[in-house]
Amino acid sequence: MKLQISPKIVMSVASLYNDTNRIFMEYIDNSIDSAEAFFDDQSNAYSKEINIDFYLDKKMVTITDNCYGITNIPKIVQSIGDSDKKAQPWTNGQFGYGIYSFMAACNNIEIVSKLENNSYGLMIPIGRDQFDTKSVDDVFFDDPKEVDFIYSSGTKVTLSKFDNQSFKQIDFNEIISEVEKHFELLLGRKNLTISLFNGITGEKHICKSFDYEEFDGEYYEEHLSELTFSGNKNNATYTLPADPPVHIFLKILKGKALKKPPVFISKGRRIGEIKSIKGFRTKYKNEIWGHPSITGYIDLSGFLEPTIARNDFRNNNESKALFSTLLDLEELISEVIKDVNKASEHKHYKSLEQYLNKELSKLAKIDALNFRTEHLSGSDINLQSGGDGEDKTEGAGSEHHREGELSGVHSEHNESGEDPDGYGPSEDDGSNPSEKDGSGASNKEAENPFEDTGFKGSERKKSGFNIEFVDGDPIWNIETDKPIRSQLIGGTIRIFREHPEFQKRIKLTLTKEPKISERLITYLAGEITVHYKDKIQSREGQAEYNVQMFENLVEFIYMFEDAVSGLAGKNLSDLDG
Amino acid sequence: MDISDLIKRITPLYNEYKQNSKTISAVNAVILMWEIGNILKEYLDQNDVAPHNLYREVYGNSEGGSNVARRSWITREFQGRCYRIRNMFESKDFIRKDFPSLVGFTAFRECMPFLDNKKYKLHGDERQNLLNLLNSNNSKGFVLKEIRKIQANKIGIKNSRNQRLVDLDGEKKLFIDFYNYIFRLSKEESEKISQAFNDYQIDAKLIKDIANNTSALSSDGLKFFDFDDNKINQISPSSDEDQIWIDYINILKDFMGQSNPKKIRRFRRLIPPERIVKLADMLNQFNLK
Repeated sequence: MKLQISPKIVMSVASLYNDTNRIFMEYIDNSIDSAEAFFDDQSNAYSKEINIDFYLDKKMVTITDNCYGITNIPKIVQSIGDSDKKAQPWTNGQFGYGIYSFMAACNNIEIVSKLENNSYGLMIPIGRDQFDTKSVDDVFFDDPKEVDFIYSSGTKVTLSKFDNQSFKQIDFNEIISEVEKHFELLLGRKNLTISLFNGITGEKHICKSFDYEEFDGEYYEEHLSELTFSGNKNNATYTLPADPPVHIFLKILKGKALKKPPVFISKGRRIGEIKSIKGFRTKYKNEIWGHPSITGYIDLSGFLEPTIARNDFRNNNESKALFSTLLDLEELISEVIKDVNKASEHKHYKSLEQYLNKELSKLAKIDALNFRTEHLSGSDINLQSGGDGEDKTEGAGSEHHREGELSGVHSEHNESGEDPDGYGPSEDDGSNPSEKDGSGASNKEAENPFEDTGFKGSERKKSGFNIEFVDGDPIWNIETDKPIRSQLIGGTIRIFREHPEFQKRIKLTLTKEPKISERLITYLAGEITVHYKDKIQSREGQAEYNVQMFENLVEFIYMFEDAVSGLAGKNLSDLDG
Repeated sequence: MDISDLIKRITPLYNEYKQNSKTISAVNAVILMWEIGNILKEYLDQNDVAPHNLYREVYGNSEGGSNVARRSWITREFQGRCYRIRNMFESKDFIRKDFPSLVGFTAFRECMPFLDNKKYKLHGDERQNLLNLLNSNNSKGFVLKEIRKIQANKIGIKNSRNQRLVDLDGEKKLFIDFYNYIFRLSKEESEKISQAFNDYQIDAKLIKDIANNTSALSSDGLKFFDFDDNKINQISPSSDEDQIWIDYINILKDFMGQSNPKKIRRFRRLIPPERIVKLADMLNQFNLK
């Protein structure tokens, strides 16, 4: 058989594939195309069990299916660039170049295919080296040979003689990820199984479609049977029909950074992430379409024609209409993202609290400063009875809450360690020698009246403080008439996130995610140090107003800043682990 | 001498007391306190200021609307005790004379009313017996037990520290009811919460005001913000749940109208500040939802 196209063209088209793992998608894609004869759109099911098996060996890769088979094997080599599938709206292949993608990674391909009505399969081997010539007249192929085939119909493709570099690039997990991403909608069809085998490790994986329901969030879904756009010249509006309709499905996840951005899908195959499509021009590529909490797809069902490299769309009226529709959607999505960002932030700040608690705890151990409350699970103590569920050293009516003694704008003091003989520094003024036990009102309550402390678990004090980021408005100092940056309540340092000084130090990424700046770290270190040192002074005495006092203060700020310096430059969401 | 100088003078003695609290002997602690009391006395003799006002000047946290910020770590109670000790003994030498082997500071502190309070001061044999007891070789526990007996005989009535708290039982109960109601509401779905607020005609601004003014109860020196009465009047008290909003706002308004923080401080003895800020946090969360 003779080639009818320049061998150099075939070689150069194949060179478009620069990732070996991506090449395998072409062959799996061909198998899926070949299964279309058995697919029923109404039931979203194949009339027979379709099995597509990918097998990776030490030297070769095979893709076997039990689909329809190739109707005209000689045409594979005789009419490259003129695929039969081009005229079929339900299949993806258009040019017939895909089968030659192997040339980017290996030398040999062997194709065996059998049709249902034939008693034998036909095998054709193709070598990349056969194309290494200038003249089309120099390329000859042997006629296909008759061979046995394991299924009543189907195709087996074997790729071998891989280039060393290309074979090293093969990553089984990457292939799993590629297949599941590339065919995510098709994998939802009934009776289709794509199995991946790693003969080197013995691993096996059955590909699954992505389950959007698994994640909590808001979604937007629409089936557009017509799309409109405005013309550049006279502002006229044009309407284009879409049959089948364009299916938009976007999901904005709550408090979850999935990092699976929405994609364009054409005929069941992923074309690319929306944010990566060059033809789609928007200011919000990262902020919206690359936001880690947004996912989903736009199934074009053939409304747009992908370019030959399948990573963009041709610039035509259809693409203008689609992109114009997406631009109109951006405002709505942006609003939902704002809400989601808020919800996510709350979660992320909880992670930051934990991180800071841990680091502060290490420093506080040195000073034996124990104000952090830890609840021990698994104990039999029910906090609902016999207490108020709060730390007894700070709780209502404890002796530390004597009137007129505690409050400060920044901190609330417990006088402690005042008694030189270790009996405890009675907080009363000694004028009436009674009631030293400080029996406050709620200590005497047999029942805890608050409904949110029904958990079981005893409390213990650990080194450090509980650090908490407060969502609402900061409270105001009556004397300075300014919002306060933080306050100490019991053993909790409450840092107001909405304080202008805090906000000034928050950097936002392109996706509007908060990022931890070095300035913020210094700010947090400063705020925490104020309360920390205040407690230290309560224990150790009156701070003397000299340079040493300020040096001590700054030294602690630096120590804490150093302890948490690993946070600098991180996105808050990175802390979720 | 201004207050800063006074604090500076007290500081070395106070720090000596605090930093050696675990090792200092009881009598030396009393002597140190006498010395601090002596400094305070000097100041009080030279300035027209009442002792308790001076203590507030030194520590901060005054009752009024100003000077509420903390100025030092030297508590008012400590200063008061020092000043009383100073007034008990004309010279610190008398302390060693009266207490050659003081058993413990707590025992001394518990006996202070018998040494200086006009009503309970002991004289003659009774005083001597008390001094003997405080200087005895008995254990601290035994001595304290004996002192309790004397207290029971001589003083009898215990002035409960909670006696004025009963006045705030209503506020306490309403706070708890409101807290629990908000807690239950916070567990509902966002849609249901929105619906509830629509039904009660409570908007985000009013929730924010309630949250901010609740937060302002958490410690002294915090600013309240006026409610928008128009928004409050829009709440239709058609059910208990509507009424609880109005009742709670009225409590806040009452606290906001107080000329000094006494009532709020008493309230904090009934409701821990942790609960107060938690209620504010839950309210703020509604606005986020």
